[in-house]
Amino acid sequence: MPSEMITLQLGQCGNQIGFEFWKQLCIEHGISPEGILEEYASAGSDRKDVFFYQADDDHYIPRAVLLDLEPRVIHTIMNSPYAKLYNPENVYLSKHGGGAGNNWASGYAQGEKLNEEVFDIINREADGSDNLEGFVLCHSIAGGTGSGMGSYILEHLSDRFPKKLVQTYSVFPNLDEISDVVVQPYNSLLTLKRLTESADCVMVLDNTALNRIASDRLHIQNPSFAQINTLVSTIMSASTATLRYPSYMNNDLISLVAPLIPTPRLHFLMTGYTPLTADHELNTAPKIRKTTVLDVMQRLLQPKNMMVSLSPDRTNQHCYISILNIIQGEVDPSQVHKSLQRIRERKLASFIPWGPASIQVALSRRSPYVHASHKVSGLLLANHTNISSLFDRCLQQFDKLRKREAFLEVFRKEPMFKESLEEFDESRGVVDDLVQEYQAAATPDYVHWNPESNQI
Amino acid sequence: MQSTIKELLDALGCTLEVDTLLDYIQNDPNYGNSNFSSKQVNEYAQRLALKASNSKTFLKKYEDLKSKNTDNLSYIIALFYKLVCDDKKSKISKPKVAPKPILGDNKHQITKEDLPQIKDKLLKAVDESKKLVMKSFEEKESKMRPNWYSSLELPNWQKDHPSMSWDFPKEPVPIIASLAGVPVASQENIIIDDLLYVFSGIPGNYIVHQPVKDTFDARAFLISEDLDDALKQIVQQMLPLASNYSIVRRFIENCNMWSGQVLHALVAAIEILLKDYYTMLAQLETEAMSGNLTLQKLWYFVLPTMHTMQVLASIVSNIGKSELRGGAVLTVLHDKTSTLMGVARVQEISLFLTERACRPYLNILDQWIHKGTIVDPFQEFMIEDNELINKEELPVDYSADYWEKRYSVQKDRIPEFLEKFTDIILRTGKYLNVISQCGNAITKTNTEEIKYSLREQNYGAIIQKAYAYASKSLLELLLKEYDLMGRLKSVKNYFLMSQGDFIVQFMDATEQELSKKIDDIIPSKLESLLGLCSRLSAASHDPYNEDMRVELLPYDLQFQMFKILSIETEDEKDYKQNKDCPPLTGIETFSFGMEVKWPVSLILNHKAIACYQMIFRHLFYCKHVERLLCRVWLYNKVVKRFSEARLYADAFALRQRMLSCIQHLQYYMCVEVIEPSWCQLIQSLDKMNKNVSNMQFRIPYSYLVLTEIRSPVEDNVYNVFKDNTEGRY
Repeated sequence: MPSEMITLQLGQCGNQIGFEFWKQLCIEHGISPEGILEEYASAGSDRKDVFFYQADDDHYIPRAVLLDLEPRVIHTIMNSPYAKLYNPENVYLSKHGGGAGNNWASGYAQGEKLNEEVFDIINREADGSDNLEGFVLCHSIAGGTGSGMGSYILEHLSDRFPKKLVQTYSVFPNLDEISDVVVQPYNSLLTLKRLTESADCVMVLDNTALNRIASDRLHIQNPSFAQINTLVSTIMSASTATLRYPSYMNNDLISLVAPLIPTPRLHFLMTGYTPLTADHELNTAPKIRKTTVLDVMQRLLQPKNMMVSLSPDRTNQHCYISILNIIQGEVDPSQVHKSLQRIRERKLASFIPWGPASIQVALSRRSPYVHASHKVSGLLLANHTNISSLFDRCLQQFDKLRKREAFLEVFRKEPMFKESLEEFDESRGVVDDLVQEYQAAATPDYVHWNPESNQI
Repeated sequence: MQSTIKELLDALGCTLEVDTLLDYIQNDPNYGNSNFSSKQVNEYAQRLALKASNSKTFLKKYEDLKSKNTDNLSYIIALFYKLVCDDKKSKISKPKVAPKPILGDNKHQITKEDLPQIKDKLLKAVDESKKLVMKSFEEKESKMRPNWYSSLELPNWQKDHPSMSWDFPKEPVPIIASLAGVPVASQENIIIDDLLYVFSGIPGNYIVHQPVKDTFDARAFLISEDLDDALKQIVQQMLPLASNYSIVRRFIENCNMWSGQVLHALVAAIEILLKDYYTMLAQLETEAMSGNLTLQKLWYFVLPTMHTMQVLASIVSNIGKSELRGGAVLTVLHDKTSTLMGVARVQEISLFLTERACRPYLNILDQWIHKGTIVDPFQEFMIEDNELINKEELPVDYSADYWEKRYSVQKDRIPEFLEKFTDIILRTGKYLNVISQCGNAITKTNTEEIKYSLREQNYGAIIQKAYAYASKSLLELLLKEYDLMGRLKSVKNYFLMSQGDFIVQFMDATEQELSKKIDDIIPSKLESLLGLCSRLSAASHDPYNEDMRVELLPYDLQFQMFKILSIETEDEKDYKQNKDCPPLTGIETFSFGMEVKWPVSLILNHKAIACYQMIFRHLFYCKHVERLLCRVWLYNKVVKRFSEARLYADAFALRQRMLSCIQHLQYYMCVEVIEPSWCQLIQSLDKMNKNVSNMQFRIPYSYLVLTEIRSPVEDNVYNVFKDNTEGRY
């Protein structure tokens, strides 16, 4: 079985996202919450084995590893109808149970401590699959466990499995609100360094944008975590649709990811999805909306549908490095062709000057067991140079705190920062380099970069 | 036609071979629609005669053939004229018609010295092939005819008992009696009596027949000198009746057991007409006995009959002279009937004859289009069954051959009025045959008899109906019982790679094996890996995955393409020569094969599978390149930890462009070409498209076109890819 993926869920946010994701996959593949294949789904031509494997009693078990340092979320999962779905051996709760206290350093240190046990689980899972393609890591970059422990695992995953793909779904904090986690900028920055250096592909999920979409597009006031996470799980399931419903092309993750990421560092992808429907809308009078391929593809290019909130591009220098549209539903290839032509004519998307300037399209089937109210739906995966503005904001916030030397005490307690705070500066350097590389990528000179002439 | 040419050639004393000429004629686009005026043709013939070794024999032969109304005579003469008189033309046409392999190395310029040699070679080869053909023909003949045929001794009645003939005796009879001194009034009665004898083919006392040279010559009569001149005039006027009767009679008696059912039927029909004729004669005789008949009255009575008899004689001499049989007879009859449109009575007779003569032929047709069998003991029917009797002799691509070659249309046996239905008649029977070979009984739906009529709707409708039924039931059989759809789907899954996960899995599994050189690959290993992969992937739902095979072809796709296109320019030569140098790797030689069982193999025959294989190899190679590029990406990803990562950006951008190119190419082929054509195919099948035989071509054709057009471009791309990807490791 080729291209299996192992999902690692870390921390509160990671586990919540993961939970929604598995829920969605179960529905799409016709698997009951207990892991038993529904009768109507027995003759499917879908591939469940990318994300599931079968136990001796034929019930499907997700290739998922659930990790957390505090028991709350995992307990909720274990008390849900889906409790029996997971392999209990893969659920790891720190015995000490106190969590990481939203402290990256604490999470990192605990990750180091629990290293053996965690990687035992991961190794076991990896050995259990025939041809592992990679890992999917779900976490947030602001908290303690997801960011700190996640960083530790990321660093060691790429050491232990250098030929495997490491993809992360990273939730970026809501920068509009004042967070209750005061050290959030520190956490984010430290995690960003690991994401830059150790992950191969980062799906950026920006809480700011997710909240905005929930309220603007779905008309939900004060969206709950669960509602936001449904958005995330929709994206996660759509981006893996071509793996699970095999067709001519894009049947492994790498063929999806490789064309999106031309150079290894520029691997932060934005996502967009349309049309979005919330549960409560389905019950009330559903909005009948015409969805054509052109419609969907145009909408996907609108910033308001993007699940990342970017600062407006004032200089108008930023452009797409690459775009992949995964279109699901009843699609006539000639429509796709026409739509691409229209988009090109109208110059709706501007591309980097040094690469292939075209939108890639992958067509995928939809799950036959899920009723879709729309004929066509589309997911956009894009690599855009303006994502650097997001990192820039992180940097600014970090700088604000760092200047005041605020809240550094909690970090100093941990072994990593006992001696010095060098790690902060190093991380800042890495992220700053990243921002600059992204900005450089928008220029034609990017490929002819010469360290001598550009060194500051 | 062949015999005509041969005779003419013999007379000309020319060295050209009949077969080569025939080949040439059949390849000539002008054949059949050339209109030469008879004057022009005569002139050609005269000129040809001057060149001929024996001009008299040639001219005689020509006249002879002309009188027989031989088909295309004018065309052949014109062609000969061109060949012989026009030196230039003959030089061009000769090498054109000459079979190539015998000439050996055709790179050599053919010099004059070589010509005799070449001629010898040609003659030898033609002789050999002729012998072969003759032998096989004889074998076939002996197989077809029942055993008793050779031992059968048919009595030759006409030779042994000349007086059994209803025609005049062979030997002339002298006029013995004399009318000298008999008064005119009595002469009239005597001569009426004599005339009635002569009308029924018996020489009279005062009117006797003259012998004829050829079977269908008009017969001359000798009338007693002493007959009164006035009476003689009237008698002379009436004698053509006797002559025509004689022709008809001779035609009837000329017809023997092996003349075929059509001629038998025609003769039988003529006999019916002649019976009426005899009745009329008997009535006239009664009149004469009672003394009511004068010569004038007799003239008045026989006048209509004379006309009829003349038409009859012209029809039979037409047929008899050209020694027609089977379908060709019907063509002549049909023509005659249509041209006689104006004369109601005569047309009626002609129609009667045609209708009767058609009966056995249409019976065979009926059997063919409703049961798919040919009962044609005399080889008259337009379709011939070339079935191989020995099952051991079955060639590998039996199915392909079956469809193409088993039943062949004999052009000269098609009656004109059925010509436009030839194609569907052939197919109808073929379809029925396939059905019955699959062990399904054919329930005859049609009880209507096919009958000849001047309007073609009558039989046309029946033929169309039978065709519709046959093709529909065959299609149903294929679709329902033999699950053609499932087959096609499986073809799509494997050859067109719509089962992407299987391909990925297979490529993962066979990677090592396929990267070896072709000689080092162990096919059985690939075979077992294929089995494993098809069981493990989502392809396990495919009911036909057991039929998949692994094939390693000793040539690569480019080579195959150029072989097909056979472009012989300087540029293409590079590709061809290059290919011989490095031994092929597994990736280049690998292809799937598929075992298809009868009767689905009719549609998915070797040719179709080969087309799919070509598409598959192309897609497979693209996939392979994509995988290589992705691999490079994986190797490259470590770079991100180095601070100088951007130094490599140029190389990365190149890789990116290549990857994007190959993915777009694949997207184009799969999504924009293969999938739409597939949908089209399914749609047309759903509509129960009757054109089963076209189906087999339709599936692969569009893809083939695609591959053909694109591959030259891609070859360059491939090479670039190869160099780059390999350089990177």
